[in-house]
Amino acid sequence: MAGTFHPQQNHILDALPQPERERLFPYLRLVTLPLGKVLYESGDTLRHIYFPIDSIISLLYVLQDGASAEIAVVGNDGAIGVALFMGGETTTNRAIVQSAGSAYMLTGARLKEEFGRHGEMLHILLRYTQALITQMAQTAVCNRHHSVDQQLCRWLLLSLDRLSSAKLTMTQELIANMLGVRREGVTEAAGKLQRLGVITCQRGHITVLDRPRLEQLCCECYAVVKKETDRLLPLHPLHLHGEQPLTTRDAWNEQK
Amino acid sequence: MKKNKRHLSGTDFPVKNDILRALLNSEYKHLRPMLERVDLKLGEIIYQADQRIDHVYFPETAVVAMIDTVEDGATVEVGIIGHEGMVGINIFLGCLVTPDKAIVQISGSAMRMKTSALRKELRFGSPLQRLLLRYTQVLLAIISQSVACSQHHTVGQRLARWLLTMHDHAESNEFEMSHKSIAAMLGARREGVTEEAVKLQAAGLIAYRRARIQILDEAGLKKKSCECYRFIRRQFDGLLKEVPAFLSRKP
Repeated sequence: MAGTFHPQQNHILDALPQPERERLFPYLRLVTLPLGKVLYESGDTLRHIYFPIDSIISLLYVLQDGASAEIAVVGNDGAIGVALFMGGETTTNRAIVQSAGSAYMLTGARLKEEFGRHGEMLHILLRYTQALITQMAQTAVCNRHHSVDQQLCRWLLLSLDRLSSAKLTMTQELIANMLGVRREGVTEAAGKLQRLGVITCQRGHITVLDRPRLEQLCCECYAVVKKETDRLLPLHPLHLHGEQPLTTRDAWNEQK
Repeated sequence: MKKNKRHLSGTDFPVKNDILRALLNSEYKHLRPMLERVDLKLGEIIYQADQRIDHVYFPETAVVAMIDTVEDGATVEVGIIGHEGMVGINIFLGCLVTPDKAIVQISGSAMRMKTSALRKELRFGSPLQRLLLRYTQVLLAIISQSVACSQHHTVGQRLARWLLTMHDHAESNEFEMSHKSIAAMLGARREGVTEEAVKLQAAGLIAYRRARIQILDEAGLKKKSCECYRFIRRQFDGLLKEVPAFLSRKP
């Protein structure tokens, strides 16, 4: 985990205007998140919001019998703990580190104080929430209608986008848990990709060798999620015009 | 406090949407003239995916499903919105278009408002903003539950869950619904849905005739349903309990 980190490696923090950065960045704490760490459990009261840099966090919905389903993956494109600013305080999901790495952490109190300043932070987080909703909805439809082979491709691509290297630390068993399918199904699908020369798997690592081919083999769900995330959170959204979605802030300005 | 004498163009009050009613009973009385009652018909598509949203809807007796579609046309429902909710939360989240399709599942009335009118009300820290934030959280919970439910629960359980949810919203024990549209909602094959519906009918829980479903035994259906039905109810009940507090609290 060598190298230096900067808050702007996270897309949300990067999208903040300068005054917000100056206010918030001093309060960010860089934390290392080991594989498997649970950032919060379903029902927990949230105290922090995390902005991943090179870590990936899975949001899982856990059923009463303990079975779980991954509803979204969050990396440097997003934030963990959106429930924090929604008023309900507790969350219905579990957030677990799926790929070890770093993240910046901010206390809930500091975040709320920032909202009180009527800056851009809330609007950016709301747009991100929309991207999250899109990812969840697409996951639902993908799980229902696409093959394990395709789902594995989607999962690998979404993870890959959130990492700086092409090597994922991940066992097939964990992937099976994430996708909510049998491990044999994942082994079979991974075997196919390996024979095609798209990935190699060895001792808890998966390396992607041929990304364009992986994209070809994937269902449309990866592209849909990526498009929506890019549209809602392009870098420096405030300086773009044209196709840019209107934010609530824009609406206020219009009104003035 | 009922001294609003404004002329309401063809709109009957009171409204039957919980969120809207709470709003109109608070400092949002002035929204009344901006509201228009519309009849939504079964199968009507109120939002197409990736299209601009011109109105948000507060369903009253109508029930609307948010549907996600894949390229080959296969679908799955990711949320059902009735009198306790609002269709068009994307507007609040800062988007002009919706990635999902919204389709009417039960005919009935809804109040609608121009998105531009809603946006003007979304001042920071306002009761409306806090309320819609909390509502977004409920929607997030329900969508994530849909993902897990569609993966782990059987078509039989999900059919029971779905019938109970519809029954909660419908004004009678009977509503119109084809197997084909149920299958589209559940993301299941039509044959699978028919098979499960036959079982529920044989068990005396529902009666099904000519695209009309009658609920005969609610308690029995609850036993057949997965935990997700109770989860959805809990989310909405929790929200509705908190609504008055959201609207009365000062920022």
